[in-house]
Amino acid sequence: MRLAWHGLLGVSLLLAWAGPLAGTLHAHEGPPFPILVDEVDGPWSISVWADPDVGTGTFWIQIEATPGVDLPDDTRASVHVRPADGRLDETTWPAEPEAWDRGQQHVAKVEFPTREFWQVRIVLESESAAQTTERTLRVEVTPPGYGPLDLLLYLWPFLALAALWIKAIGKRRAAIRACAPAGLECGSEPGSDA
Amino acid sequence: MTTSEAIGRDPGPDLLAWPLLGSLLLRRRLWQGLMLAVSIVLIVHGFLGPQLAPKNLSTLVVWVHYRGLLIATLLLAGNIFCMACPFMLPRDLVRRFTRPVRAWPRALRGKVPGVVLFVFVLYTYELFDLWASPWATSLVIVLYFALAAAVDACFSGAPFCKSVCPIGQFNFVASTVSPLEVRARDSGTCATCSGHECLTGNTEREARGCETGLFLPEKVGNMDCTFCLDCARACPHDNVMLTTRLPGEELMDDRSGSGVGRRSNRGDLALLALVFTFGALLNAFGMVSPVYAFQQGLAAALGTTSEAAVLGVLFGIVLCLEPALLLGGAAALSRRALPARLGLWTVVVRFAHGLVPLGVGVWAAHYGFHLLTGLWTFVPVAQKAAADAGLPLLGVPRWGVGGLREGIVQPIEMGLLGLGTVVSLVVLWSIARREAPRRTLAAYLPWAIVALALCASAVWLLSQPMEMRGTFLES
Repeated sequence: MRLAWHGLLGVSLLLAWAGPLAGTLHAHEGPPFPILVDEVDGPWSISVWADPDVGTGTFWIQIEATPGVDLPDDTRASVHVRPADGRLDETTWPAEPEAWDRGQQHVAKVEFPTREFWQVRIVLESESAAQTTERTLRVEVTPPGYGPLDLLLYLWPFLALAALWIKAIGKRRAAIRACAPAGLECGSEPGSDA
Repeated sequence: MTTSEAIGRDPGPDLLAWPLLGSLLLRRRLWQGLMLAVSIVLIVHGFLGPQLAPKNLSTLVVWVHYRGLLIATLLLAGNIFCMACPFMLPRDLVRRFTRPVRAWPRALRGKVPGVVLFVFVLYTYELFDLWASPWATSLVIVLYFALAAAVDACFSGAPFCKSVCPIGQFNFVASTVSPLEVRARDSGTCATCSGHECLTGNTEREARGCETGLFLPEKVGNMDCTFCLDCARACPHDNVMLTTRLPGEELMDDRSGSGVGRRSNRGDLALLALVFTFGALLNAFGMVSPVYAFQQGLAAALGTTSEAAVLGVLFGIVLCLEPALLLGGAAALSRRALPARLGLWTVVVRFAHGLVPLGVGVWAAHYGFHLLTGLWTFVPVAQKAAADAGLPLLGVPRWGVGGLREGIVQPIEMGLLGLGTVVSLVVLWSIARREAPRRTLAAYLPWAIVALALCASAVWLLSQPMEMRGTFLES
């Protein structure tokens, strides 16, 4: 069973080595979530998906045509943000068009310096349709991930559970060994011929 | 005498004797009815609702919530989803009109049909982007119902559960690390029982016996146990309990169990365990961004644009070539330490089950990520579905609710993976000690290296940017 403890130590070291890598080099991105879905305004049916991380947050503005109306080709989208408490001026971030087979998709990368609630204003414009619309939303900006030390800290409950399990298996093996000489049907002893 | 009695250990709490919980657990039809109702909603919404995956209950609930809850209940309790399986309701209805007498063909017994279907499901999932297609997801659910009814309408027993159902096989393997188990309360009572109703059924109680052929006093572990509790209803002595145990211990246990036999003699069980483990890595690999670059490179090397062919090669590499090299190498090295000269496959069969906890860790980390980061996404979609159906009882859709932040989920993923790896290392050590009592370390080390290599590859996979399938409107 000593080897099991060594195994636990080995895996701890492996995760300790991998944890910082996972935590810093490749943040395991969480899924974007919808903050606006199928809002119809003029020629546009608008959905907005957000991944609002501290640092760089991303907004996907997806526009589908409303029934019987063509989407204006010159639709432009932009995202305007400021802290919800209004202590900073609003900043503007253009959304770049991307290919999307269901309509038009515009993606905006927005810098969020702090973790807090932000007011997000989505603006759509089209000169050919002579149309402008906007939606104002409130979004909580959160950190993309913890640092390596935090990761290790949160891993401890699992390591403790592993240690408990190893201890329980060890005790059980000892109990089975103790009953075997009495000729009892003890089940398969871990680590012995069944 | 049970093992617990033999070693003077408390047999553990009997959950079936607990007030309320016990009677709820024994009401299988209630759970199956609930699951059937959910299935019908998913099927209808999948066919008739919006065909964008994140807006449809079918894709969202099946690929984000169901899979996560499945692995969570297996880790925290047992094979609860098999107990509540709705596929059995139409099958039982069909059996009211037909009494199949033909036995399932001998050639198809065992786990090979289930393994083939399991790989087939993983393959079609990738090929047809099932996570992104509500109608295809609904079609899969309908096909499951149809297949269960068709197989069990033609053949006696429960061949669908035991040998065919890919979800069932997944559950059987994962339930080897579950903390709950159905077993006899007192083996002395079983020794004096002549009716064996737990296996043959009890006409007085109108209860059937175990349809997967597990005779309770000789049952070892959770393999092939659907937690249906037919045995508990049938036992005239009320000698069946649902109790706690040490997760994963049965993987060290090579006694011959009823309906299963000895693990070390079952090549099909080992195959299932290996496909389960390597399939976990393959399924996770399909979710990360590098897979697309790899597939493009593969397509260029093969000179093909056929996704089916490229996926086939990818599956071949991960499910055949990689295991052949890793396990073949480990078996070749470790068999030198074994007292008897054994074939490579025989050695693999004996050690394969040691990798199961690691596989469970990878599945749990992967499905747990989707479940936890998309935990509440079903709420606005259900609200919208109800409103679209003219029943705005659930209120205005609350778009914007998601789940836990990735910063919290990531340590959980790594923790589950680490836990699985530790248990795997201990189980492998135990198997090595059983197989090579004199040269345990020499037999163990190659397998430990394989486990650590798989763990390292899983860590790499889980640290890659994920494709947000089923939760994000893909471009």
